[in-house]
Amino acid sequence: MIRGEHLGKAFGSCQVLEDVSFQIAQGQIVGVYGASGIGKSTLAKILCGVLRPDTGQVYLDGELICSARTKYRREKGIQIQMVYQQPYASLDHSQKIIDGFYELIRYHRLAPNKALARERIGTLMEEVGLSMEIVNHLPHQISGGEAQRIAIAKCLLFAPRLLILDEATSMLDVSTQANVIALVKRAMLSRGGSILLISHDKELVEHLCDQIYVFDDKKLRIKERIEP
Amino acid sequence: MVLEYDSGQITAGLARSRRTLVDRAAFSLEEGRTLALIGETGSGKTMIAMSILGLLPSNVTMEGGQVLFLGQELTGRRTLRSLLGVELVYIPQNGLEFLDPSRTVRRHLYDSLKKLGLRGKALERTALEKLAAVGFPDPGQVIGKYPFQLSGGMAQRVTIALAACSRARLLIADEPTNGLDHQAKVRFMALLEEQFPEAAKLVITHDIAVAKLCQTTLVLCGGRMMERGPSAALLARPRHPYTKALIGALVENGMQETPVLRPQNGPCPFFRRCPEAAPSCVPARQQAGDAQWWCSRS
Repeated sequence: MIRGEHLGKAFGSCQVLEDVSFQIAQGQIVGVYGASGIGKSTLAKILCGVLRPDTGQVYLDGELICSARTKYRREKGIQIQMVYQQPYASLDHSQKIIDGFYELIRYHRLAPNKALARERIGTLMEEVGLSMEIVNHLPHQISGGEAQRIAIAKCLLFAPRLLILDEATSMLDVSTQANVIALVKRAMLSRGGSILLISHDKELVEHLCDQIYVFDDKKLRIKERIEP
Repeated sequence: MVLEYDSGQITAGLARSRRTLVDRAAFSLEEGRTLALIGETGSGKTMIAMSILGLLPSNVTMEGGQVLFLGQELTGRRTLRSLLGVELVYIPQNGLEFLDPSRTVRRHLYDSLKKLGLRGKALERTALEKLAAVGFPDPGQVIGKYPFQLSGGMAQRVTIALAACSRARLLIADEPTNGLDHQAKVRFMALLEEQFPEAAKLVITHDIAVAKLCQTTLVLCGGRMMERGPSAALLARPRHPYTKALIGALVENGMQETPVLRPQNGPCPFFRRCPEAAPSCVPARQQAGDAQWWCSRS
């Protein structure tokens, strides 16, 4: 489904990714682990179009979505969504949660009117296990676990083919982490989507993933694939 | 006894109501002992720390509670201000965010050392000693750096060095190991013990692995005490269903979910999600040896 070939990225003189190739099949949970600062998030940002690779290319269903020479294809790349480490990172602190949803729906024309948009938000809230009351709050009025569920709901709005969890549960307590992971699995795998789990927690990655990639100590490449 | 704490009721004023954040949580802490406060987000851990430090938000009040530090009540901002950073020391969650971005590590350390009465050349010498003590092999390289030039782990070590520039009797560390890998967590806790062997230490964490490294653990849920006891026994053989749920959610135990099982609230904050709950539930205190738990079902 998603294929990265010979990806490379440097920041100034610091080479972070070099000749990174990988594949994520439909319905799979794929894990990437390695120490902090080794380039895991750089890879995620390339897949989402936040960064452009210096070398290599990324394909989704055989179609090129980005390369060193071509611009990121947003209309296709929107099917790759990412949940960040900081639960509040994707929420605007001055905006009620529901207004953040409306803004996304309006911008991407995901619903023809406000009533249908509200209905869509309601379905998503149910899917992530939150009550509709919570969307009338400001971000600082909800807990970290609730904020992370909202971030997931915002990603699910686009019915993504791939959901990237970039250390998305490392700030959460164990029970919230277990609940969030379970909901992501339900929401993504039931509709044939895939999950890319990026973490420094080897145990978590080994427990959850069908396939694991490891960054080597040269910070340069994904070198190993361990069958569970 | 370094700290005798009774929260009474800590409540937050909302637009049209008041919400209880912590309800009758009480504990004490002796010299050299480490207590872990664990629980999910929103269980009241940070509010307890803030109430000790006198830093509760303006809409939050503590009623009927008492904080005794070395037998003296911590009342009045002046008493607290004279103790903060000297005998009562706080280690924050995110070292990088905590440090002032416009000031070098040297300026941060000098400020804390001046509070101890150090002046002149003694300032630089002691600052370098403190940085070396927290594991910087070349403190001269680090002392002139700004926070943005440090990694997360380095910044966290600088905050410990800052805390070490005190005569800490009570140390409060709020989620100090968040985002660190397991090895870094173990190193951090060992460093805390090494730098502050005499101080009473209150470690606020949601990380069971960190709680295991503390002598005693107090488990909180919805602002109420669920279970308390020596960490090794409590985490190996939890008695309260809530503690069991926390342990069951660990990766090594299969990351079991704790879904909402019933619509109505009950006498215990865990009632809606508790697999063992019944209409006859009473959150009465049970005791066996050093262990205490608040549940009639277990």
